[in-house]
Amino acid sequence: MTESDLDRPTRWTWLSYAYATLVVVGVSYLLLDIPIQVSDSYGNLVAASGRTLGALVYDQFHARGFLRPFLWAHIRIVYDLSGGDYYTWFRGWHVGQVSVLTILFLRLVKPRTATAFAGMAIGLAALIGIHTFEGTILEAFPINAYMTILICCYLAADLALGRPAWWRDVAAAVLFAFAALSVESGLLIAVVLVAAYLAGARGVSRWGIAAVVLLVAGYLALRFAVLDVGTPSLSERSSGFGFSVLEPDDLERRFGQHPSVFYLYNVGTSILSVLLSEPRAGVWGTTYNFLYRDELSIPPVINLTASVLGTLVLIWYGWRRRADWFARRFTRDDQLVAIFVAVILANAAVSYTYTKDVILSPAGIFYATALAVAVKSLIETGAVTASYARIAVLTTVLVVLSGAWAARAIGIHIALRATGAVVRNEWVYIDDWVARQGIVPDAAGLALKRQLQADAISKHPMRPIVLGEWVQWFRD
Amino acid sequence: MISEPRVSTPVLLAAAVPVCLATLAIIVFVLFEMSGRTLSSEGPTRNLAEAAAMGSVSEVVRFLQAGEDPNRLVDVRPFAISSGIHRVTGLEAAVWHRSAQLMQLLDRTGAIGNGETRRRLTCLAVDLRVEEIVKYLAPDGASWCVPGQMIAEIEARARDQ
Repeated sequence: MTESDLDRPTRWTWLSYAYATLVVVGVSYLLLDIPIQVSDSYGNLVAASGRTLGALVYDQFHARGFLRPFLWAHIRIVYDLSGGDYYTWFRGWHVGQVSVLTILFLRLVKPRTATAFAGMAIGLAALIGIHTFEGTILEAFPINAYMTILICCYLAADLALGRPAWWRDVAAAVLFAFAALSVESGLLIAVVLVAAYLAGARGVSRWGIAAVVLLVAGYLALRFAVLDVGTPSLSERSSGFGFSVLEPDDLERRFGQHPSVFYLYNVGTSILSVLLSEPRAGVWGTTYNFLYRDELSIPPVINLTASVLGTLVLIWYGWRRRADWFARRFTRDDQLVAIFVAVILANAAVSYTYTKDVILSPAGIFYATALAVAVKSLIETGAVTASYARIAVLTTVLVVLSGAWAARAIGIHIALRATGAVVRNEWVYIDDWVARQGIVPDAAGLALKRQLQADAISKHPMRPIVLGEWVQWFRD
Repeated sequence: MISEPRVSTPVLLAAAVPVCLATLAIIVFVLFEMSGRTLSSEGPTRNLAEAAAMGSVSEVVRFLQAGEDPNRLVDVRPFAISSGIHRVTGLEAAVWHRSAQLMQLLDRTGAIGNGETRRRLTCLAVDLRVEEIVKYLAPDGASWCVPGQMIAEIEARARDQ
């Protein structure tokens, strides 16, 4: 298929967009039902609304451990735009982000045939169903910074895989600066751009790549030499290790002398987590339950099945394409797989101090795009002329793969509904939470609290709880 | 023109159908709920007692704000507590949820007081073995409770109906 063929939409393209619209409608409906959270949202809104935009950004350049001025600017801008209708704006913004991410997914995968449609459908289920994605829609602060980075990552890939143009270089540099100063994982934008370039994509030119690499150096200099922001220390928060979560004191005791062991563990388990869905946040929970508890519920088995099978398909794809890759001949699909490989390695590397599912969300979304193109290739091996045995094996593998990712996608919807109930209950006890946090809101903060509480409890009351044994098939 | 490889139909369907069916199921769920009926649910909680028994604390607060009395006897559907419990007060239902935090919330509204209501709730918590609530309602102990009496009384309401 030539580049111009890929640019020309077919009926399968339109069908893909129609299908993706249904997926977005399902997620958005449940996402809109979640009120603005108490933890990480109310406090942030109070902090963001208490100063001018300029002061807020300036202060963030002098924060300790984190350098996220644009995240705070983002919160403040949506806060101002909302004109006091926080529920609608912040939830609507989140839904808008999911929609944009889905459109970018389709732009990257470019479904133009029936096989590509089928691959896209599984990839889209992986995009929203993978565990690394959960934290980007079940939580918000009240802007989900990780979701912002996911959009930036896909935008970077879209820029890199397009036709060469000078404005793409400029856009790539601006995108990197915005993402890197929003959340630390924004640095992965540079990885996406460089990986795409090394895999033959020329949407962003050599000069554009050079500019981004310079910006990375500038970021590191700004962070460590000029602002001395540093990185979170080993004892800053609890972290998963082995079969349990270690408290900061335990981490310090066990790894204080040799933190590199802990860092290597985090990098290794981060990679495995994306590829296999186990361990999660450094904890081998499913393995523990299997070995010691004799109780293995259905959802972890589904998660493992989907991820292991999906990863095997990716490995198969790489093996099949190895000759061309060694000869440095890359198709667009190859470039998407190459970006995934680079991002998973870099994402794991930047998680060296602390790993959790949502931090790995950039690797998760590129896993979805890589899976979509790999599944398309796998389906194409099932030509009508193939043997019955081959067709039978292929059909079985694809049914299990598709079914497992479908179950994970359903699981995230169940989680969204449950989160709506949990967040509402948290608003009931907001005063206890405020006291525990030591927050002393001023008059505006108190008014904000009353408004958000009313939004969560009376204006948008809880929807009926979904009951039934079947729920446990999809979600623990 | 894109030349599409001729792929076996079962292979294509095997890949596309499961995920598409899942999406369809979610859309059906959404459409039903938008039309007022939530699939695989018992519908919205009907009163404070149902909300309390289900642990829907935000709904408890909403019913309180709407003026519902947590001491009033109301009908609850079998899924809320059990098939043998049909008529309870909101406070009694809260004991079944086994959360001292919820009990504390209701106490703050002045619904429990220090008299007979507190003693009866304490005995119900003793019957249901909810130590946390017993400690909250009667920090000095609940020696006056007759084991099983409160539960029997509540179950009898169903028979009296």
